[in-house]
Amino acid sequence: MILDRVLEGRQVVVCAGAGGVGKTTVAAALGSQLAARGGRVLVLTIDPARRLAGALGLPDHGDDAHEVDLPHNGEADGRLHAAMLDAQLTFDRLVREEAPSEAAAERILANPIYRQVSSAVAGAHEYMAMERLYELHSSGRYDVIVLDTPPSRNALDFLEAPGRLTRFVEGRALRFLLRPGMRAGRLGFSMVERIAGVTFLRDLSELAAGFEGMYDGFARRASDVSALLASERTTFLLVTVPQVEPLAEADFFWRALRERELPFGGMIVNKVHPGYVEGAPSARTRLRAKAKRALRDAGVPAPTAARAAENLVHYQALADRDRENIVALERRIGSGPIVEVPLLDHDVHDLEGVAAVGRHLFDQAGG
Amino acid sequence: MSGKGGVGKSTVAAALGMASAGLGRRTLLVEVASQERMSRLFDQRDPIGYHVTPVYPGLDALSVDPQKALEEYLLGQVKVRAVYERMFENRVFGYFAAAAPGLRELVTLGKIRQLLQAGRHDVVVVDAPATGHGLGFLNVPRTFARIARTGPVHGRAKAIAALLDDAQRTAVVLVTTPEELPVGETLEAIEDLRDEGFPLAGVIANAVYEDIFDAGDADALAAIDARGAASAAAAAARSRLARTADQREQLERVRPCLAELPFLFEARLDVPAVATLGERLEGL
Repeated sequence: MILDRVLEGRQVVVCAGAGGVGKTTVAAALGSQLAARGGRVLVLTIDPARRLAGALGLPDHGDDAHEVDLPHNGEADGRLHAAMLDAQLTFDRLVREEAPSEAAAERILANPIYRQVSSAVAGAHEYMAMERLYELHSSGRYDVIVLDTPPSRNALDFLEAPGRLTRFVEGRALRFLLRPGMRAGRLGFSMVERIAGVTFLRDLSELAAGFEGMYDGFARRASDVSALLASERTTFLLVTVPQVEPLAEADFFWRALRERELPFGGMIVNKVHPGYVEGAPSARTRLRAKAKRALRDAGVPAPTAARAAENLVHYQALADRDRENIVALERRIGSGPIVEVPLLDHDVHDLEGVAAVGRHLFDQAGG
Repeated sequence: MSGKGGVGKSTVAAALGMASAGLGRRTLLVEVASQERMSRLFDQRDPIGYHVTPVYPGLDALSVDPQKALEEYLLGQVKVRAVYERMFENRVFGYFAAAAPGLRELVTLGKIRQLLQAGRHDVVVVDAPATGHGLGFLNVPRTFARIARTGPVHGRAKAIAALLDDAQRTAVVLVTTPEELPVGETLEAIEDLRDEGFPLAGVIANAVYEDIFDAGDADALAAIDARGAASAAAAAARSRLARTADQREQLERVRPCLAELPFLFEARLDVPAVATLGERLEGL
């Protein structure tokens, strides 16, 4: 219910968060629920686990969108599609599109440094996710795109990606390198040459020459995608789990969104340990004895009762810890909605599990 | 040490560091993502930062800042501070350093190699980026050696690559939890590491539920009809049984493991808790 309000009228839903919190699962669950409500929905995943990719009907290679066979049965005629990001393919397409000629494009694609830039450079993955989002959004084929973001080591990598890559392509520095006679460039040139070697420098200069003239196209796309992300058409959902480190990262990202005035939709706290008993954690000291006695009264043998009581105390301790962390999160982010998804007894790796997560996401009134 | 995000890689790296120190090896624990997890784990008052800092008997920690590592490396190359300072102020160079692919990873690995060579530590435990990023990290020196075909960078990259390739000196350890998706990613990483020829030592399974219930317990608890605390305990037991059974299945996919570490129910992972994990790693 709360998510229905948050997602109303949005064309782009960005799921961000630390690695291992279940971002891809949450993105898929959001996509399937949105499709069940009608509309053409695309989930764009980044490097999904193989099993989950299989469940979404994604092939091992390529980045085409595939329709997901949803078991939903309502009257709504929504469609869910899924696509996987291939940063290399996206970059290659971008070069072909923006290069002044086919020959110029081929020169860039064959450059040994280009290969490294497009696959290995920090931020290239994030930038290409943005670029692919731009491509798919402007195609007009989808009403909503749910974007699963790369597992960044630093949340800011994602937000700063368009600017960073544009600067690289802009290559003011690289153009200096092409004219080593220039006073401003001489020192930089000789230093780079001394450290990196001559062949490296030649490849780099050629790459810079290739990018010459493409800058405007790159900059325009980067600014378009930045505008889309900052607009009312987009919302950012921060996915986390209720443990200290991932919560700290979510908190950091939330601040980063605020500083950049980007639209924050809410926090999704995944894998919350469910509680088994009511009351304050301070009343837990006698829980073990109480549970043991109750189990004995219900006819459970003493050794089993002791083990089950011990396990209950352990489980409840995790639930209490999670609750405490979520309360602290609420205090920090104030009125921003928080949606909880309980830790399920079985791992989520198929459409059935994704659907279960989806139901939990949308059933909540929210806090 | 690498592994899927969220499996407790940093905690296991810290535990391994403590175990190694406990055996009398002078150990250095290196964090590469500047997240300062180690300073929190070891209750440091201040961030560890780019300083080798003692955190536990026999164990030092360091958080590598790639920017500082790069400055340090360049100062070593250029030797004259005035030239180096002018270079750093130079915009051309700044752009190059910011944009050159993998340079940050290269200088981070170079720093680790240099620390080993300095001889103050017998072993360095590296809390490397998560799998996915992790393999890219290990591959950077080889890539640099290839694209910078001559010159000092080529030589240095080659030396780092040789260290990482050498099974006598390097061991790649993958950490996983016994769950479907992390195990799947671990199996993929094992394949990739073998294809690329990196010295894989094995897998450490983390957060493994100990088998506390037997079949008799399951039957006794399934049969009860109760409310209140008894029903809560039975529900928690059923959840534990379901999760433990799933975990056994997943563990089979990665066994034999170097070690299987128990799930810790402590509300906060503190130094004594991590030390109990370390004790289980002393045989490695």
